[in-house]
This record gives sequence, structure tokens and C-alpha cells, in this order.
Amino acid sequence: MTAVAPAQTQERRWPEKAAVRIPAWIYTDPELFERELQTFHYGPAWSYVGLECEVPSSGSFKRSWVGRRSVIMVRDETGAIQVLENRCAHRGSMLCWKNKGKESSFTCPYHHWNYDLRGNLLGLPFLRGAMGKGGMPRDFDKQKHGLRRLRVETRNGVVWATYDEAAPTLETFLGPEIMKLVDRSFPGRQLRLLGYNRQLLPCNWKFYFENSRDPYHATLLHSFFTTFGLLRTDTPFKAVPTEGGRHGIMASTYSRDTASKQNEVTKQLASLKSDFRLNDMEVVTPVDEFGDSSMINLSVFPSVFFQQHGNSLAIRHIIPKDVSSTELSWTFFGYADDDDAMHRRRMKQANLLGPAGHVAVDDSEVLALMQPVAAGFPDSTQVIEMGGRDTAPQETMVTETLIRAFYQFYREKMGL
Amino acid sequence: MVIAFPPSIGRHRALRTEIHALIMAAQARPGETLQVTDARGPSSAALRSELRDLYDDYAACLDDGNLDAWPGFFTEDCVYAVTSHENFSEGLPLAAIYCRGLAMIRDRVAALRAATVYEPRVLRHMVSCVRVKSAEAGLVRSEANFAVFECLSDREPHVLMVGRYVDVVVRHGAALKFQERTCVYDNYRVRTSLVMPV
Amino acid sequence: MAEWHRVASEDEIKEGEAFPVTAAGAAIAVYRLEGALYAIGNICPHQGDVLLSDGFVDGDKIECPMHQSCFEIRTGKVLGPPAQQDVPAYPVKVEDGAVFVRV
Repeated sequence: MTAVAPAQTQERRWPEKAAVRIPAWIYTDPELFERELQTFHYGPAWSYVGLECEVPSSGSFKRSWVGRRSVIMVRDETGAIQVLENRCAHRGSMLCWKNKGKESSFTCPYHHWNYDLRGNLLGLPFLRGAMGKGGMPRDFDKQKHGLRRLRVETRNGVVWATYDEAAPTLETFLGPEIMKLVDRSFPGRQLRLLGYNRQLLPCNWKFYFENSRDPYHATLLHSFFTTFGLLRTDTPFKAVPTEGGRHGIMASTYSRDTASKQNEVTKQLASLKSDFRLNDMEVVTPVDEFGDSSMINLSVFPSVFFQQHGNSLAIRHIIPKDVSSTELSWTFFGYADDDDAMHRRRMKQANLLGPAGHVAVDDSEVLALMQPVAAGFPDSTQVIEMGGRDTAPQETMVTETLIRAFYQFYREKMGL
Repeated sequence: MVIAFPPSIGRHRALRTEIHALIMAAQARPGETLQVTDARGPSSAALRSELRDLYDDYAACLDDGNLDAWPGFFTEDCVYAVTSHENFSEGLPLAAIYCRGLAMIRDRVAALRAATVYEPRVLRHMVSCVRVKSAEAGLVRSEANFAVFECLSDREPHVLMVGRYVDVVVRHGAALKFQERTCVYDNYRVRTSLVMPV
Repeated sequence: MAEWHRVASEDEIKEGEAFPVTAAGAAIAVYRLEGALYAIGNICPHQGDVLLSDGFVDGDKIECPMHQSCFEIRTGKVLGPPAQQDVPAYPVKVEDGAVFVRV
């Protein structure tokens, strides 16, 4: 008689044809989720934390997240940015309860332990007891009980942090291709914060990462583009995995005349309605501010996307909450020297993105409904063969090379 | 008998109770006429009632999914925005929905009709606490609270968002229209998506 | 106008201890250091609601019980964080065994 182990005790195995299949249990297994956080967010990776312009002066702070851990990004007395765990070193209570503000030091609400802007423990109540009783042991060393301070690098106004003292530099982590394109949006010009959009998506965080490495869906799901003749499958396009599949670049090139021109490919798009025209074309008409007629979306694993859509510049911070929920935090920015026309354009074009975005709504709606399917069919597999079976860069939108490259990287790091 | 209502009457339960007692006392004296005026002048109660109708009609329009009628609530040069309490209180201009001018409002309707992909849903807007902040030179600044419940195709309703309308209303022929409507939601995060206007 | 206020008997002020008093609405602590008397503000400027006299006299310093900010007993000068401001120092005199502070 053959013993059959219950399904949940079986070892998770990546399915056959590993390079072009994804098992659904990677989106639903809570144990795997914890291991991902340890491997990526708390491992040798740099996570996006915020922008320097959000904390303009000494004592200015903003709360952010590295993985599931709340952190405080604060500018210290020397003007340097610190990223501190938002966790009192005493009993682990949440130290800072405000999303933004200004403090000269941080005091825990529970027992009033007090920390400076670099996380050093300055003092604690009744260190020497009260009325000669109680107090800390004589050898208690305040210097050993500060807040955990993450390693920080800032580059052209963007703040990054890592838990790993041995991690390579930010420059090495990003790699030359991503670095060049991050610098394209952050060339060192003074930034102007426009505001935030936050969403809670009821899906696993990897669904969102894949979505932004999937050019194949762009002209199909996002019928806003095709309905109004804005993006087409024949648009010059690049899908480039970098750093062994860890990061990814999607870049499309636009020109004024393609928007009104139909060809064989666009005629195949059933949803194309060439008679549709927007009343306010400024919403979808970019000014070529970077001089390359491109729209570029960078995926920097495990924490962030940098998205330039026309003149809308957005940072999408991916904050995993649990195996089936993900916070998507958008920060929109411009430059301090934007003129009124450019500011208006950025504000209008922001309508394409965010929780109510003409384009982005489609993504959040689809991804929210992928999660219950994965939960119902954990042993099912997905197919990622569009554009072949390899992970080379491709110059087409009809490819899943970025997703294949990502899972090659993921499986190697996770040992799957 | 004349009972003068102070402007802030709606907010003070104790005062309301007192006034109620006065009215009851007046009713106990037949033959005396009861006249109620308002410290802001006789037009204020009428304005507030007119505003309530506007807010209710607006809510009903969206609840009915009557998107084609929705732009009719705005003036040609309107600004319509849906933004978070976070952005609003920090003075940050970004909004989840930002329509500058009626053209952008019409485009949003067109996009929802023709392009946006979303799970079917039913919405209910609850609007309360309509208040006039100021009314002068044909321009009314008013506010109201809203709660939007959302019921997705195969689930129970949930609160999509709660917040307040911050409005500038102008008279347009016989009707009142929004010259500015800023929907400031209290939510830190939007649940999944904000498909329909607020 | 500053005036002298009687706040204690001289024998109440002991070496190595803080003696909390109130004069003209001000919270003050009186200290004896190598025989001489000193009076400085008794509220820690760091977070505002803590009496320094509940803390620890360490030689010529008073240490706040809350977060260990230290102040010079002779001058009220802040010696260490988290507090960043001094506490006020007040003139002291003794007449007929009574301690007076000028506030």
C-alpha cells in the first residue's frame, strides 16, 4: 500500500518546464511570503524609502516601510538622512505615530524612552529608580540600546536603505542600465512634491511586480490607450531585464504622427475606435522634456517602480502587507523650476495613474481578482511563453521575457 | 411670538431642545402665531434647503449610474478633484481624480463608458451635514459629509470611502452648479480602486 | 519686579539633596553645595513636566529622572542632552536661619 502525504505537507516543487511556468501557490503560501521578506527586503537589497524633499530640514521626518517593517526617515542635526526602525528598543512598541512631522527627538509613548535623530538612546525614565528603589541594573549601557539604524544611501534626492551591512553599494545593486535611467528622472534637479495616492490591493505583491513587467497586456487590458489611439502594439518598444532578471526596463517611444495613423496591427485591435477623441488632449499629450520621446517604466526589485508616463512622474512604492494584500503608495513629483504650464500638464496627466487612473484602474481591478483564483487553484500553473522561452531583451510589446527573467532570478534566490 | 435661530443652531442639541420647548409652549397658547426666522436672514434657510436638494440629486445621479447626467452638475470652468485628507491637509495639489474644466469631466465619463475595465459594482452615497460656510455675491461656499458604500458583484457592501465635500456653488439660471468640488476622503488608502466619481 | 521670597529654613537644605520649593509661581529647587546655597529652576526644559528634584544629585550636577539631562547646580547650565536649554538660576540669601530666593 502506498502512503499518500496530505497535500500541504508535500514539498513545494516548481512545475516542469520551469522557465515558462509559474505555480499559483507562490501567491498564497504564507510561509513562502515570510521567506521572501527575509530573502529580499531584509537581505542584501536596497529598498526605496522616500525623497529628500519630503524631509526638508533638521528634525523633519516621514514614516515609510521596508518590507513589513515601519521605519522613520529623518533628517538629523548634520543634515544627513537617517532611516531608523520605528520600534522602541525597550519593549518594541511603535515609537512614532505620525506620518510626517518635525521633532527634536523621539519619545516612545509607552515608557517615554527618548532617542535622538540618529536613533541613540538619550535617556529613559527612572534609570536610577525612584525614592531609592527600582531602576536599571548599574551596568545597563544606554549606548547599546538605540534604535536599529539602517544603512542609507541617497542619490539625487532619492533615499534608499538596506538592512545588510555587507550589501553591495546602491550603484552596484541598481546596475549601470537602471542607474542611467533613474538619473534621467532624478538628474539632481530640485524636486517638487506633488502628493500621494495610496491603495490597498487585495493581492500578493508579486502580481503587481509582474504586471509592471508585462508589456503584452498594455494594449489589450488598457483599452484607454487604444480607444483614444494613444499606444499601439507597433509602437517602438524595449523590454530589457537587467541584473540577472532582478530589475527590468520597459520603454516605449512615441511620435506625434503615430497617434493618428492606423496600420495592419492596429486594425486587429477590436477595441480601437478611431472616432474617439478626448475633449482635453493635454491629458495625453506629452511635452518631450527628456529629449528622447520615450516613456519609461523601471522596475527595481523588491520595492519600487519609477514611472514616467508622458509628463507624469511617479514613484510606486510596493509595500507587502501579507501574502494576499499589498499597499501601493504613489508619490508624484515634478521639479522646483517647472513653469505653470508644465505643472498643469503633470497634474492633468496624473489622471492616467493612481487608484482612479484611466489606465491604472484596470490593473488594480484585474490583480484583485487574480488572488481568489490563485487561492482556489494553488497547484495550477500559469504560462509565460509569449515572445519565446528565453530571458533576452526584446524589442516588442508582445513578450513576457521580463517575467521569465524575474522568475529565473526569484527561483535562484529562493532555492525553488 | 418670534423665535430667532442663531446660525450655529444645528450643532447644538441642547439649544435645539430648548427651542423645541419654546415651540411647544407657543403651541399651547392658541391664537398666537409662531414665526421662525434665522439670524443670517430669511434667505439662508431656503438656500440650505436648495443646497440639500443639489447634494441629494448629485448623489442620486451617481447611485443610479447616470454618468451622462453627471457633468450637468458642473460649470464650464469648474475644477473637480477627489483627493486624500493627507494631500489636502498638507496643501499638496495632487488628486486621485483631477478635472480642470468640463472637458475633462466629459472625458472621464467617456473613458468610464468606453475604456475602463472594472468589476461590476453598485454604489450608495450618503450625504449629511450640509453646511453653508459663506454666501456672498452669488457665490456659496458649502460643505457636506459623504460616505460611499460599494457592493462588488459577488460580495457584501463595504465602506469605500468617507470624507467631506468642499464646494464652491454658483447660481446658473434656475439651478445651482458646482464651480469647484473637492472631495476630500479620510481614508489613508483607497480600497483597490476608485472607479466612479465621488 | 523681582522680590525676595522666604522658601525654607536653612537646616532643611542638605548637601547632596534637592529641596523643591515654589516662589512667585516658579518651581525652584534649592541645593547646598560645599556649604553654599544655590537655587535653580526645577522643571526640566526637555519635555516640560518633570521635576528635576525627583532626580539625582551627582556632585555639582542634578540629573533629570526622566531622560538623564544634566544641569549645573551653581548656574542652571545644561550639561547634556536631551535637554538643550538651561534652567534659570536665582539669587539666594540667608537671614536669621531663613532661606530667601529672589524671583
